[in-house]
Formats: sequence, C-alpha cells, structure tokens
Amino acid sequence: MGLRIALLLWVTLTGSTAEGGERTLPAVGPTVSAVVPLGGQRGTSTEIRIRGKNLDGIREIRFARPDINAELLESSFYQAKARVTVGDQVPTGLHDFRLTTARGGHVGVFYVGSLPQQDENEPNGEIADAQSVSTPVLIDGVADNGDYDVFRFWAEAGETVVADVMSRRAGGSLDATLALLDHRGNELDFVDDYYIFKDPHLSFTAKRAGEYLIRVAGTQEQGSPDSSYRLVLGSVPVMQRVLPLGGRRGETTEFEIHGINVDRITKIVLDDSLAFGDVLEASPGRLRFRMSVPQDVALGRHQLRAEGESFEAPLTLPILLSDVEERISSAPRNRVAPQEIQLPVAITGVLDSRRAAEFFSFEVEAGERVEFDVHSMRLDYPLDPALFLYNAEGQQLAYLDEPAPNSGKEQPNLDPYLVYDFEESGHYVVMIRDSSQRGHPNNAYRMLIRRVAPDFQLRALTPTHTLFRGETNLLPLRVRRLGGWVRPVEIRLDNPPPGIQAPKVVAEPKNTPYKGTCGEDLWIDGTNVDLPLEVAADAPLGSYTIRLQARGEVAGRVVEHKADVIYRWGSVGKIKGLTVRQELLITVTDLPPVVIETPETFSLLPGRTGRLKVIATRFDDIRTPLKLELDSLLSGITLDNNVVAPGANQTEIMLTLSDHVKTGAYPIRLQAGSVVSPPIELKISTGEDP
Amino acid sequence: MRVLFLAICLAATVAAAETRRLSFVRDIVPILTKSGCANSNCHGSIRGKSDFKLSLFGYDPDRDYEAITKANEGRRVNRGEPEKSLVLLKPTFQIQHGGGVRFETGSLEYNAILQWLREGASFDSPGSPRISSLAVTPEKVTLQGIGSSGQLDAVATYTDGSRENVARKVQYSANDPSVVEISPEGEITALRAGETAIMVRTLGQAVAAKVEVVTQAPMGRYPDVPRVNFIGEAVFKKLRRLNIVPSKLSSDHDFLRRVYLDTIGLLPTLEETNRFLCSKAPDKRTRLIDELIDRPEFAEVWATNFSDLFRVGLLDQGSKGAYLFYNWMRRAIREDMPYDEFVTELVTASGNLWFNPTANFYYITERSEPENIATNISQVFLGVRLECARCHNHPWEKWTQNDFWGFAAFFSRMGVKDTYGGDQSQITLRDRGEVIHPRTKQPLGPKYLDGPNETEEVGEDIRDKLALWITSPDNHWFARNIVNRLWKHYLGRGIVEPVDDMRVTNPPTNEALLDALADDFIEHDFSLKHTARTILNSRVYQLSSEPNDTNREDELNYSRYYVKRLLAEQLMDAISQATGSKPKYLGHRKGKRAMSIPSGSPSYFLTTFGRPIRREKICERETEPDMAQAMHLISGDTLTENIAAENGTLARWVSDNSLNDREIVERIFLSTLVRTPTERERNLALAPIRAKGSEARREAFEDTYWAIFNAKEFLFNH
Repeated sequence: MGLRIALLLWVTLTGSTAEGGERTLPAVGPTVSAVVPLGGQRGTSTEIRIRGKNLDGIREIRFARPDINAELLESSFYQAKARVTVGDQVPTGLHDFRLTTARGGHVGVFYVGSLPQQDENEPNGEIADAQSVSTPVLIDGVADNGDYDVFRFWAEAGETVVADVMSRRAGGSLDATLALLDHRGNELDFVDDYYIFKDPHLSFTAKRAGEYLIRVAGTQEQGSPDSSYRLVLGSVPVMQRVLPLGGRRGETTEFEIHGINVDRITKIVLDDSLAFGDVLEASPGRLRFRMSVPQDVALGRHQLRAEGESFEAPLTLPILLSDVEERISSAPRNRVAPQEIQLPVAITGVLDSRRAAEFFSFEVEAGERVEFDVHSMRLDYPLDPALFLYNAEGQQLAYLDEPAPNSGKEQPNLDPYLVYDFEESGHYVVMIRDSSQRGHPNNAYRMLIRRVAPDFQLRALTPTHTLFRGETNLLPLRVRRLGGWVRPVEIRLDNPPPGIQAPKVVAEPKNTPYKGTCGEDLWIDGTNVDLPLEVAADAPLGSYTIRLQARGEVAGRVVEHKADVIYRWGSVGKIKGLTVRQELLITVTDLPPVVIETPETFSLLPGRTGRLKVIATRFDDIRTPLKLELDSLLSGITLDNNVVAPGANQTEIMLTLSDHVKTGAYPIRLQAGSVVSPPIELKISTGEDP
Repeated sequence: MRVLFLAICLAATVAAAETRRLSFVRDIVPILTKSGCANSNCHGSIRGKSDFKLSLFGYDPDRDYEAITKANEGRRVNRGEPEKSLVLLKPTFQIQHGGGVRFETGSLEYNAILQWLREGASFDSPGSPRISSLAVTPEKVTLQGIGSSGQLDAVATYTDGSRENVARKVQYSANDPSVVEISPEGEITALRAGETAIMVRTLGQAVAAKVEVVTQAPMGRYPDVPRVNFIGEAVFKKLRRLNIVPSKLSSDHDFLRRVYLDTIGLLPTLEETNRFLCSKAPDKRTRLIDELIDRPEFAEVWATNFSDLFRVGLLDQGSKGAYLFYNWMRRAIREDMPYDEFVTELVTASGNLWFNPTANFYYITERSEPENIATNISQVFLGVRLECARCHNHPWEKWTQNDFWGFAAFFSRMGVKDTYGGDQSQITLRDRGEVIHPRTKQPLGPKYLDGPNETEEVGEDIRDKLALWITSPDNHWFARNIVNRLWKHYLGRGIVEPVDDMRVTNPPTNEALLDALADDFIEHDFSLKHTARTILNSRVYQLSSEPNDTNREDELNYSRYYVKRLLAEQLMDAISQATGSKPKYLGHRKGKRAMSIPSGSPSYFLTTFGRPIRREKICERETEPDMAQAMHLISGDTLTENIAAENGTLARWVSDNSLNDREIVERIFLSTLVRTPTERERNLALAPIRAKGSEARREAFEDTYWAIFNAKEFLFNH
C-alpha cells in the first residue's frame, strides 16, 4: 500500500505516467502572429514590424528568393523590425521567408505588389478626414478595434474601379469589410466576404466623374494594432478565373481569363517568366490568350501574372500544370445527354447558376480503378463541389462531398477526391454540382478523371521544428492515401544530423480520428504519425535540413516518395499548401529547466495590489518549490505568493505598489534561477483600477 | 325552445343506445373528450396522467381503445362487473381521482360507457366509419344585449357519408370567456360587448362559430363616414352593424407624428413638421406617405420586423451573418422586391452563411432538422402553427402527424456543415434524406399542407416546388398572413391575433377586410410598399385615437387608432434624434440608429424596452410598459446622457443668440411631440428661468426634455 502511495506521489510530482507517457515539450521557437505591413513594393525597401513570440535573438530572416533581402533592425521577445528590400524583377505575389533563432524557426509570407505603394495615415475615419489617394495605388493599412479608414479618390465617368482588400490571403488576421461611398458619404456598396477566408472585394463603374470614398474596417469593428491589410484601389485589371484551370506541359493551349478591366492586359506570364502568353483578343470582362507550356516545368500549381502597358496587374491567378488533356466543359446540364469524355482528362467548368450541375459520360473496362480529383477550393475558388457517380441506368453508385469533415481544427478542404473500382465494363456518368446547389460566376472547378494505381503522399506538417537535446522529439507527419492505397507506409529519416536518431515509423492505412469542438467524432483525410527524433544529450547545437522518405508496397510494387513540406496550419494565418522552399529545418537546442509564461502587459495603481498570473512549465525537479523574483530591482514594488509550489505549474503573484511609485511604463521580468520570463510591461497609472 | 331541443336530443341518444350496440369510436371517445378526460392538461397530455394516456381530444380512437381496455393489463375495465370498472369509478369519483368528478353516476355519459362495457367493451368492426368532418351551425351568431342567448348545433359527417347530430357529444369552449358563457349543451349567453369564437371539438376535429355581442343601441342616423378605399368599406360596414361610430379624423399633428414613427421609425424634423403643417395641399397626407415609403428608413423598419420574425442573429449566424442577412432584407424591401420572390429566395436559400446572406434564414438550429424548419416556415410565411402536430394531431386544427412530417420531408436533404474554418457554416443539400414518422417509424415523402404529395427528381431542389406552392396566389394562407402582419404593424392589432396562428378556430375579426387586403396585395404583385401605402392612406389608419361614446370599449374593430407604445428602437432613435446625440452601439459606427442594428450590440435601454432576444421560439415583441422601463426613464442614464449631449441639439440652441427661451421651448415640443406647447406647458417650462434667471436656462430646458420623455404622449404612438 505504501509503495502504491509513493508511486502515485511520484507520478503526480513528476507529471509522468506509470506507462512512461511522453511529456509535452515547450514551444521555444519563434512564432509570428503578424507582419505589418503585409508586403512591399517591387524595387523598393520597406520597414516591417513582426509581432509574435520568442522573437528575441533572431539570427536571420531569409527569403526563398535571393533578390529579396531582409536586414534585421531590432528584435525582442514579442517584436522584431527589419528592412526588406525587394528586387525590381521579383514577381507579384506571396514570397516565403524563414526567420531563425537559436531555438527554432518560422516560415512566413510577404506579399510583393506591383502598384505604387502608400501608407494609411490616421486620422482618416470620418468623411471629413478621408485620406486622398491617387489611383492606382496599393495602400498598406491597419484596422484597429473600432477603426475606420476612409480613402478619397477620383473616378472618371465610365471608369471601372476595383477595391480589393488583402489580409487573410497574405497571412494577415483581419476580417475586413469594404464600403463604397459617394462624395457625401452615402453608402453605394458594402462587401464583407468575397474570397474564401474572408477578404472583401468590390468593383464599380462610375456613373459620373467625381470623388468617391472607400471605407475599410474590420467586420463588426473588430481589429487590433496588428490587423494589417493591403488595399488595391484603382482601375486595374483583375483576373478572377482562367479557363481551363489547367495547362498541359509541352503543348500550346488557348486560355480565357474572366475578370475586370482585363482588356488592359498586354502580356500573360507564367510564374517567374517560365512561359509567356500572347493575347489573342480582349474585352473589359474577358481575355483570350495562347500559351505554350514547356515540357520541363514542374507539375502542379503555378501562378499566372498579367502585365499591362505601365504596370503589372496587382493580383495573380493560380493554374495547374499537368500531362493530361485539359478541356473546358461543354456539358449539357442534365443526365440524359452528358458530355462524352475520354480518360484521362481534366475538365474545367463553372457552376454559375443555382442548381447548375454538369454531367460527363465515359467508358471503362471491368476491373479498372478511376480517380476523380476535383480542384476548386485548393485553387481559391468559392465552389463547394459534390460528386455523384451513376451507371448507365441512372443508378447512383457513389456520392462524395468532401473526403473528411471540416472543423476548423485542421486545414479545411472542400474538394472531393473519389476513387471507384468499376466491376463492369460500360458507360458511366459523373455529375458535379455545388453541395448547396448555389451558383456563382467564380464557381470554377477542375476535375481530373483518370485510371489510377494505388499511391500515397507524405507531408511534413511543419517546415521548421525544434529539437531538445537529451529528449525524444516528435515530428508531425501525415500520409494521405491516393488511388485506393490500403497498405501500411514506412517512414524514415534519410539524413540524420549528428547525434540524432530516428526509428522508422509506420502509418497504418486508417484515417486518424479526432474530436470536434463539440466532442463529435471526426477524422482526417489521411493518417497522422509522429516521427520520434531522439537527440543525444551531447548532440551539437545548430540547425539542419533533413529529408524524409516514405516507402510502401502494393501488389509487389514498391512505391517511394519524399516528404512534401507545407506551412503549419494556422501559423501563417490561412495560408496553406506547399512552402516555396521545400526544406524541413530542424533546430537542436537545450531544454530550459523552466518555461515561464506571463502576460505581455500588466496594469496597476500606486498603493494597490494586483494578481499577476504566472504559468511555470517545469522540466527541472518539480518536487522542489520554484521562487520567482524580479530580475531587476524596482523600488516600491513588492511580491507576495511568488513561489510555485512543488508539483504545481502556476501561481498568482500578489504584486503591490507603494504609494510613491511614479506613473509610467516599466519593463520587468521574472526570474527563477537562470531562467527569465518574457518581458512584462508594467503600466502604472492613476486611471481606473484594472 | 332550447330545453325542448335538448330533450329531443337526449331522448334520441338514449333511444339509439337502447336499439343499437354502442360504437367505441362514435359514442365513447366523444364522451372522453367532452368530459375533459382527453384534454391536454389531463390524460390527453403528451405523457398522459397517472399512467393513463389518451389521444389528445380523441384523434386516435385505436390508441384510446388500447389504453382503456388493454394497457396496464386491462385493469381499467372489469368485464365481470362493469360497474366496478375504473373507467367508471374514477370519473364519477367513486374512488379517488385527481381530475375530480367528470360526470355523475347515472348520467347519460355514465350510462353510455356502462352499456358499452356490458356489451363487451369491443372496438368497432374493421372498416367501420370514422369521422371525416365536423360542422357547427350557425357559423355566426349576433347577440343583442348582455344576457341574451343563442344555441349552437354540431353535425358530424362520417367516412361512409352518414351524418349525425353530435351537439350533445362535442366539447364547447369560448376563446374569450369574458364575452360569452357557453354551456356543455352549446347554449351561449352574452356577458359583455365584444366578439369571440366558440371552439367545437370531438374526435380530433375542431371547428368554430363566431359570436358578436352588441350592446350599443341602434342609431337613428348613423353618420356618413368617408371610405377613401376598400379598407374603409370593410371596416365601417362592420362598425355600422355593431352600432359603433368611428372616431373623427386625426389632427395633422397627430397624423404627422404617427405616420413618421410607424413608417420610418423616426420623428419628423422641425423642417419637415413645418413644411407639412403649413401645407394647404389637399393631398398632403398622401404625398407624405409616398415620400416616407420611399425613404431608406422604411426598409430598415421592415428589415427589423422581419429580423424578429426570422430570429436573425440566432446561433452561429453571429453578428456577421445577421448583418449580411439584415442588409439583404433591407435592400430587398427598399427595392420593393415582390414578397413572393422574397419568400422564394428564403425558402430556397442555401450555401455558406457569409457568402449567401439568405442562407442565414435556415441557420436557426444547429443541424437544420427538417421538423424545426417545417415549423418555422409554416409559422412565419403561412401563419400556421404546426408545432403541436409534431407529436400528436393538432388539438385545434385538422393537422395530423402525417401532415406535419410530410411537410417536414421537403427539408429532409438539408444539413449544416463547417467549411473554411470552425466559425464558418454552410447550409447544404445532401444527396438524399428522409424523415421518419415518430410513431409508425416509417419514412414519409413530401406532402403539401392540405394538399397532395410531391416528388423530387435527380438534380432538382424540391424546395423550388415548395416555394411555388407557398407563394401561390391560390395559397389561402400566404397573402393573408403577410397582410395581417402589415396591418398589425400599422394598426396595432392583427385582424387575426396572434398573427401567426391562423386556424379555423381562431377566425379573423373582419374576414372581409382580410380577404380584401390579401386580394389587393396579390393583384399588386405582392408589393409590400403598395399594401403599406394602401393602409396608411385609409381613413381607418388616419382616425383619431380619441374615443367617442360608442367606441370606447372597442378593441377589435379599428373604430379608432389604438395607441401603442413605441418599439424599443423607435423610442431610442426618437430620443437620440430629438436631442441630437449620436449613440454608439458595439460593433457599429457612432451615430448609427438603433433600428438599423441587425442584432446583438448589448443595450440596457433596448433590452428593457422589449428588443427581443431572438431565441429558439418565435415570439411577438413585448410592448407592455413595466416598472423597469419607468425607473430607467426616471433615473437611468439614457435620458441624462442624451439630453446633456455636448454637441447635442440643446447645446446648439442654447448657444444660439437668435433664439429666445419661448422659441426653444417651442422647438423642444415640436421636435418630440410634434406640436406646440400649451400656454400652461410653456409657463411651466419657463418658470425656473423666470425664478432663477438665465443661469437656470440649460437646466430648465433639460428638465423640459426629461418631462416630455417621461410622458405617455411621447412614449406612445397615438
């Protein structure tokens, strides 16, 4: 009995389980919550403010492209400043940067724009204070809580002006709204969400020449000092969709772009000059061009850029490159007379009206396995596709909305991926519609239909990872099964750095379950596995790029893949997908004995006592008390209850000010032995009691 | 005469009982209903009472037979000694009975049940006729004077076509028992002037007879009242029959204030007041109505009304979904989108809540359950409360569970899912779906209310068909429901009350008026603006609120304008407008009017004055005054802060040297009550200044505002 009690006590005190469960290691690597402004202008330098945590001791901020350079100006725990210089040949769009400290790294994004850039100037919240701007312009602004930014501009009669707010699409956090006002302040239009993930966009054609106003604010006035946005404003071309959504490598394809002011486009460019498109004909809403895609361009997602006479279109458009025939749908919208297609093929269509559905008929042999891979949300379109498969008699064989439910806890995906084994030869029909049977001109999709063999995909769910010496650190990975793969997949580390070992792990062919917000049973489209990286206590400190390899066997065939690296979901706002530089960086560092978490600011009145909540995550001997002191003497402040009890992980320090302490802001830190907390800004004021 | 009639009835029943075997369905179940045993507060409740469960008002005789003869091992029936059956001992209180005495030993009811027991307590033979309809005669009764009486008669028609006088077997109840008394035999006695309906029920059927009690003596010369339009025709015709003379036409002051508040939720500005009052144009009221209906605030008032009805802001629509939905409604109303299109857009709505504003209409339950949607749609668009029929056949209407679940089946494919993040939901249409009848456990296909079945083809959205049916000019409920809502908004009382409870047992107070409004609405392309304009231009709307000797008691027939307390938003906006203050609501720009806030934005004032918290149930706004409101007006901070607003109207006037004190008092009265002060009021307002000098000016004017804002004349529309 006594032994049991002792064991229980030991378990309680150490936080370990009798089964030897793993402890949660602290997050000591840098995290970024905001970049202000979200981007810069090609050929110029911009000073940026990076907000986050663990930003002190930044070693470098390096962009994936060599012609974007960042010079670190200062860095502290919560904030860093840098000057970013963008070369004059840098293409418009998002560009990755990697920020590293001795304790880890972070991959973020920076938006390079083509238009003349201007900063928002406060106060500009009222009509009378509206900030006058010359269009076209790209305005960098911040929408604080309750903040309205109003911009006055001139539009000629008949001019079609675009206002497009980019925040979520550039890794920002602002859920913005846009309002168009006439010169008296009457609201002519209001838009909240236009793009997926909440960025707004509007366009209008001025009925008469004159001044107009654009008002930007957070939805329901929500915002913060870090809620930055970029407003594109002017009579600029905006590409909204391209048909087809894919191009075949090694072939010349005719494309159609739909959008606003697209007749002002003179040239189409694929990525960083990988290919060029010749404009065949154009009207304000539609442009036709021809482009030859070289055979050696990488498969997958690329960006189309558009250039005008004097400037580049401010927004790019994604396109997929493939090795299959890319067609535009001409499908009649009923099941009786579907569009005949031959496999393999990729069909692009637009479900532009309510209840729109497109039907395609194809022929297969008995025993063939076919995949139906739809891209829409993954190309940033708002369609939520649903697939239906019918036999020749009209009997429904399969239905798929999305491969896994979306909950917000995981990266969302609305695009269906269906694999079907046909038992009988014959004609079949696949139908695609919006899951809510809504229509919209931007409801574009690309459906790849092809015979397929089992395959899989390995992804590293983070581009950077911190490893602690003397610990087993878990690297999160995901195996997604394609083409009906039903076998285990073995994952190994290809190039273990010195002092690091990684036993192989196996991803079983079973989707990983998890609980939703309300406790509901959900699952991931794939299998999550953690690769244990065992770091020796004497492993050299430093950063290393590692490679992961996955291997599986099916029907005597060996399939091997390297790991793709994606942005960690939620670490760069709503940015998702593959990082530009496909590198997985690990940083080896020492596990601190204690990690102290405190609020960033703390307010107090002279002569009063306040409760400062402190969380101390301990990796030292938890059976001993942990005393917290101020790291520097500040007269007139006394601490009480400043000892974290054995076995506990938090305390509320009673912080008392004497009557004589002067008002102001004082940086303080708590110290426990050699460990110090993040800085706390102690605000002493005579205002209201906090 | 009535005694003779009853005697004949009883004799006929007894004679019938003696000559044929009693039918459980036709003879016994009606007794259980009439005696109150099958009422909703007794054994007809959803769980029954004391382990004995009957179908509500006898709609399901099969289950009732099971409950009486077989449940609890058949202990309620003693076949050896029928007199000792619980089914007789309990209602006659021979043994303890929670429901007390329901009928006496030896009564006709007692004897009938006893005879049925003696005959073997059997159920009707298979295929025996069931009730198919019930009729009451006369359908309308007018009683002249208090104490006068009348008699109702009831006839049941059965599925074999046979008819039976069931006057003695049905249950009678008055919707408003203060107007008439109704005996178990159907004799009505007038208690006071007024109107009510008598509900007649048996075997799950319910019908109603309308009763008017007229106490005014006929007049020698009934005054000739101008009709203006068909509304006057319908209202004044009935008033004449009731010997009630409508009030005189409202004054221009009263009309101006009333029509502004009712139409755009605001008071007229001083300039608008002067312009109207000085105008000599004979059609100035009509012109003003046209102007007001075209103002954007008209759309905000109706967007707010619909927001209450649709419970905008409920659940995860959150502020954003509510805002988008409200904006959509505001725009639709402003552009006078035909109401049938408006409703079609909502009934067929789907998609991401933040891309498709109308999809928020469906996001009133977390999973968009078909039964909840069916209840909501029928209530908000048809004024039909189906809710009861979810669990049992409707007690006051013909709706059965089959009707309810058949209607719910139109929404069986609907669902809710998360999309781009945990905070973003989407109303989706699954590939298939079905509803299951909770009792039979069988799937049910879509079926229109009181109509045929429907089917859905591949690629169709069956809600398109449903929307066509709902908005059809032939749909009895649709147009009547919305014009009744419009009427209530402007006249203060629905022609049918409650406005969402249209049923045969709750008839309109003026059927001709309701029909005429509905027909006119349909003829004018379902235009809300047209009907609002028609109502506002009617003589009835423009009557004074001051009663005369004949209409003082009238609360049903619109013989005068019924005063009504301002809605919370109207009141707050009127105070802000009059004082020139700019309130700030959380999440909205400073100066935004309360009427244009879709939902949320906590406000003690708005909550206290009845802005509804939109919850699970659709409910009407509370507009009754209460103590919390009075206390807040007297000592709360809303009035103080608004009146003393730094850059407010009073501050401007006080610092304007061109205005003297009398003029400021006049302006205060005009901007709040839309009239000039009486000499006494003026003297009272200026007394402090006369007593203390000019330093008391500001305070004196503030006190004047305060006094006005606390006056009923300000708080009510009249």
